[in-house]
Amino acid sequence: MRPKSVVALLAGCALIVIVNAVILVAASRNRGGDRLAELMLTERELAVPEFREDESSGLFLTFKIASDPPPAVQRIAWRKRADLPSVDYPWLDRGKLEALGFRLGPEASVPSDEHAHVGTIQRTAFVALEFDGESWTRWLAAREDRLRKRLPQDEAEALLALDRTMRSHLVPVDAGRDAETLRRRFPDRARYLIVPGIVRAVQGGADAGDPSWRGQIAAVLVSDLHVPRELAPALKTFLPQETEDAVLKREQRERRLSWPAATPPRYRAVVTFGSRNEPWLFSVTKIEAN
Amino acid sequence: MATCTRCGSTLPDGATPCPKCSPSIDNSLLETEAAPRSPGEFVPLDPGTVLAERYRILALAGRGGEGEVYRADDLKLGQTVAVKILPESFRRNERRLARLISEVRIARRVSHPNVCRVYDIVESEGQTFLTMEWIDGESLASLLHRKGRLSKDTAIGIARQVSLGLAAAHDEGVLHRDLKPGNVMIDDRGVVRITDFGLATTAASVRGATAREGTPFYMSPEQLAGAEVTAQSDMYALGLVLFEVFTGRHAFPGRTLEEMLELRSSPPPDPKSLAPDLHPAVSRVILRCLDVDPMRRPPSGREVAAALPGGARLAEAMAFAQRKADRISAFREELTELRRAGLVRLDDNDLAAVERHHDSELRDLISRFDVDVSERGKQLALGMRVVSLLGAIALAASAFFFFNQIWGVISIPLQLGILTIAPLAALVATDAIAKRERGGYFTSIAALFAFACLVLDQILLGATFNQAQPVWELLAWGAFAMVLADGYRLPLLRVVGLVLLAAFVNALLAVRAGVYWPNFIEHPEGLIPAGVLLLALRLLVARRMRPGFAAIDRVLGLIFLLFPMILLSITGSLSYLPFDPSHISVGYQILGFAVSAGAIALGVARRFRDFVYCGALFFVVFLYLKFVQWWWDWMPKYLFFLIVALTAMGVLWALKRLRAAVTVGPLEAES
Repeated sequence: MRPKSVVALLAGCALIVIVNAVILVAASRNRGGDRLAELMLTERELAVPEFREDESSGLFLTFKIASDPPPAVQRIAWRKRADLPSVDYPWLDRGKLEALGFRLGPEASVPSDEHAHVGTIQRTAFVALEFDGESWTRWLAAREDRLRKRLPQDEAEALLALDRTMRSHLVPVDAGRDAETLRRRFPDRARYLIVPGIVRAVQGGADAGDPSWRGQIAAVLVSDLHVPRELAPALKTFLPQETEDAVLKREQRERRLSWPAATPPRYRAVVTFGSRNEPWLFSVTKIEAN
Repeated sequence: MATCTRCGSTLPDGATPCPKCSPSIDNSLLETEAAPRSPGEFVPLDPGTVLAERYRILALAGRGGEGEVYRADDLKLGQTVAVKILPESFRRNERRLARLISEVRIARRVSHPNVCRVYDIVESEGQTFLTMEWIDGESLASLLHRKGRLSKDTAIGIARQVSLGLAAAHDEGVLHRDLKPGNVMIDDRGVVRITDFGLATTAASVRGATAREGTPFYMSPEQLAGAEVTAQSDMYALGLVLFEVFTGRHAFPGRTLEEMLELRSSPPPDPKSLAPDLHPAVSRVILRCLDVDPMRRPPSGREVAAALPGGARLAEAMAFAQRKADRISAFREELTELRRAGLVRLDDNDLAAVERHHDSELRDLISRFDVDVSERGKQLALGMRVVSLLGAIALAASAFFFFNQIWGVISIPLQLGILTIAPLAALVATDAIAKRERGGYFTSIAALFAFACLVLDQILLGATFNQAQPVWELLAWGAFAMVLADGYRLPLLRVVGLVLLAAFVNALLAVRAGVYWPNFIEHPEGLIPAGVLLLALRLLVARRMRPGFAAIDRVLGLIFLLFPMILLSITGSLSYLPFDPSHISVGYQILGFAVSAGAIALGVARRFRDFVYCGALFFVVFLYLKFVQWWWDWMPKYLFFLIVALTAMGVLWALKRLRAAVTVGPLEAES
């Protein structure tokens, strides 16, 4: 009989090799098979990191959808203690949530913690994202309406300017349990992405006191896109110069409460989604200022 | 007169070969090389002679090239010692004497049951002598001569003890340089001790030969060639001794020094060819010891001991051995207390007999299992475990930050190469370290590092190809941790492995329920089947599982089972079950009470101390949660806490009764 350490050595080596093989075969099948989508996005949808990282040489771009505010806006809002109104997706209502598998409690007038968890409050689902289409226009109009109603005019105008320039134009338009069904509904592969994401059920939605169940897109599963070494130089000029610590200290020193200046996107990036719905960055080009 | 170091029998004067065991070998090759004695130098001491007003000579026990050994009484301590009178030439040469003192100082550092203790070096009334531990027994040379080839079990026992004794000496930087059957004594209880540490070196230095010291018949090729002598030379001698122990014959029966030198330049015969029933592991380790290249010999006697049949079970038995040592210590403390209270009366002889028996048992346990026999030792061992854990975490963090630092500047193929090779290399290093180490501290660091490298490998590869984290990652990590834990006996990795595998079961249920699997923590119900599975495996098919991890498996099994029940009894809506959440809460409260009470009952019945403790803890938690639910809102707080305190006392009383009921057979944590 072999000693246990020899068995451990052999089994451990086999496990390491198998794990690596599985990942590499999956990557190869994803990139070698059908391309499910190919979109040209901009910095609004694929953001560079907000801060310089001294101890990391790897570069990732972060996927943003319309409901994700630019991070700088979020930070200033927190400092101003401003309660920024969010915008729901009207189609993600109780019926859709139940179709996605949520078991929702009764819509009591006061949301109950006891029922908040019924049947899980988060579920994975495929989400259809429309890029720069009518949904974006509608979303922006709804947002404009809500901001003007809830905030002083100058605040609302400043935020709207930021939204128009810096918000992601990727708007969730549908969700389902089956990617192919969604793709049949949205066949344009240059405009619609079908990505796995997390849907969250909340009671109250955007309007406080509203007892009805609403859904939110909590996250897209592959939220960070690795930038291959050969594409990294194209993004070098857009990378931040300050570390997180330096930015926070500076903003605190300046007691900055004004919204950041709206800056238009500086680059375009072509993203391809392979047969396993795993994306990769295909190219990056600079947007020349007019 | 001289003694044959192979068989221990007295040889006629001159260089006549030993007529009993080595008729064809030049006798001088069997003796430790020492300075020639002038005729008439040896004047035996008469029995009754008292040296240094302390050591009374009883009888001449043996005589060789380095002096005469007498059995003597230490009048001060009242115990028998061995007194070795060194030749006159030692006393005359100051440099030689100084070196001898220095070597005795080093040799005294070696404290191991398989090494003969050197007590002191004394100069008195024109005599220079060493006092050493007296071993009432027989030399290995004599035993081999008497019995020829030893039985398998005896041979393995002797080989293991000689190997461990040599390892202990090497740990202290002491080289023997003269290891041979004549320098291995076996006492009447079968405990083996290596004798004459350091003396051969001293004898040789006086003679002026820098390397060719010791007994030529048991010298390594480099020693015979006069090259550098290291601990690996001792390993060669160990190989020669083991060859004889297991085959009954010498590996290189050369007649002259030149012949031996020539024979040693080639590999020895396979011991299996002389003893076909020899275990292949024994044959392999002997041949490794006898490798011409010192670097290819085993690095330590400990590795030789581990490679012998039964070596792999050694560490498994360590837990048993530690408990046995603990029991002896506890017994001694208790006996002292009982005697002080006058409840036990033992006469001095009985007490001494018990002490001797326990001393002997402890020596044996220390030599075979490296047990800690004092609280201080245990605290140090625990400290070393904590330090090794911190070291492993720091090493894993270092690997993480290193990858982070170089990630963006290397190509994807290189990334793949580094990520794949890192865990493989760490695993191979773990294996190599485990073979050299008994305590497992550095093995633990290396194994945790290998585990961290695999986790990094998977996360970074997945990130490079923008893959969503798959649920099977938990299975792969858990399986890897279990493989390492089982192969190298690492409890911490067993815990990590079991937690990851339980998390995998939980995550699978979460995925089935449509939850993104990293959020499985919000749904603890999936841990319950994991706990049931683990407990069923451990309780029903325990014999096939590693016994050293039984307590870990049982405690984790109960935690997986009962912890989610606590959460679900508070918030029923966390459940996957399609029932009213309030009903689910009540159901889990009842189930929690039943399971924790069942755990206590099973623990008592099967004598699982851990089960009883864990069950009792969960039972009390369930009870208190119920109290909070029932009374917190309407009852005055002083009354509430009074009830809690009274309940605690009630539980204590119940447990005390339970303990009293089972005291006839005390609870034991099965290992």
